[in-house]
Amino acid sequence: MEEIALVDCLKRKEPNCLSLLYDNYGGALYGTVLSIVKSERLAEEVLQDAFMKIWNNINTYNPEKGKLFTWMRRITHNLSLDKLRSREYQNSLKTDSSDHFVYVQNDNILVEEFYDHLGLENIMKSLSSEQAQLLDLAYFKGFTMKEIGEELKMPIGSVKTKMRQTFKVLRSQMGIGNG
Amino acid sequence: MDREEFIASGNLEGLALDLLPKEEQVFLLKQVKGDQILENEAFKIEETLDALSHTLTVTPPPSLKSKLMGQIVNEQERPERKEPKMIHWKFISGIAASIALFAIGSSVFLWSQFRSTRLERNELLAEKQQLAENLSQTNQNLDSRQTQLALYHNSKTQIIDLKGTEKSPGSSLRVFYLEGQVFLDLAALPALSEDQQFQLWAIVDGKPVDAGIFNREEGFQMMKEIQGAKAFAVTVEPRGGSTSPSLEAMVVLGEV
Repeated sequence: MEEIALVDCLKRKEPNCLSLLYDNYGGALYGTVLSIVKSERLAEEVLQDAFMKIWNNINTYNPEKGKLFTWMRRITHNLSLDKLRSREYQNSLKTDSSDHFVYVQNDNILVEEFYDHLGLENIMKSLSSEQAQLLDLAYFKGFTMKEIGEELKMPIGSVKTKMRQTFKVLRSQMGIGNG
Repeated sequence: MDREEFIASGNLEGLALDLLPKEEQVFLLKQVKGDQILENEAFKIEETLDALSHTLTVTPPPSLKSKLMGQIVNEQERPERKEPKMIHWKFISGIAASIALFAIGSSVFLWSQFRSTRLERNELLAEKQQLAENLSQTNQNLDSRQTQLALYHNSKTQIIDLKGTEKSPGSSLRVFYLEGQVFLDLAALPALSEDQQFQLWAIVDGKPVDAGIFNREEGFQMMKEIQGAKAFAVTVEPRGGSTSPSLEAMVVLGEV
């Protein structure tokens, strides 16, 4: 089904279309959430909330501003970061620690510890350890430019230009051209 | 800041990942909007993040989908369910039936209470979201008003009223010029077709320098930073702007 048709169908509130949407994108979004909250139980909660939000707010999606998946990914990413900052998450860190990733603040160990997902591992290998750390803080931990600067003791301007470099490497890894 | 610098600065990545303070985002987005090269670059960054998501794919547990679909169907059902026909039962068995009736009645009542509470909750959530959106819009407007006010109050601000040319005598535009920063306001400009946009030019050392494109319906806004402008002019250009001005399409002009 074409994206426009799928969006129209979602706007008509047909559950079949949500089912189709889930089959197509559920895995990518679930993996994204999981890479942030690092707990299957919490990732399931976030993914369900994300699809409910997509379902309930489909009328606010504007195709002129970007692809449907981009919109869904942004919603899911934001909800994942909200979960990461929630009290529930902070509490669950204390109770079921085996389920979670333990942050090790050491540059060398970070890349290996960061995430053992095969796809991500390959991407991380293509980045320098500083770039991997920037991506980790910005995308998987939800730090702002200012917070990253404080964490890495770097002026914001350098954080920004290094972020640009990181994305350049990522982009070529993903096979996205410059055209 | 020219395009190359803007791209190299990492601001587009900051926008895509929501890593910048609100006020900065608002100003940067204005610069990106309508600039095809910057918009295209921003699109590539989103595409990279999309691809990253796909790389992370993990199949969710099957139970999650049935839970989600269950929730959707549940929400779509109307809460008003007809009360079961209990009248005959009353006649058949006296007390037992009344107890049963009471039990069923109260559970139906509680159920419908629960449903309507949930419905109200969803309505409130939607309302809350609408309010949050309004607030963010209002904050943006306020930011813009405060900048305007600060410009009026600053004695260094030069206010340049651009007058209509022969081609477009009724047109006018006000430019605020403060230490290289350029802002637009109070435009009275002709309507354009879909494939056209206005482009502001600064005259520096006798040569026109691109100061950014804009649309008639947009209000007060920040344009590109330009040092040493001696005059400003606006021309009508193809959507996305031109590298040099089409002089015959000049609509307003004013000297600093």
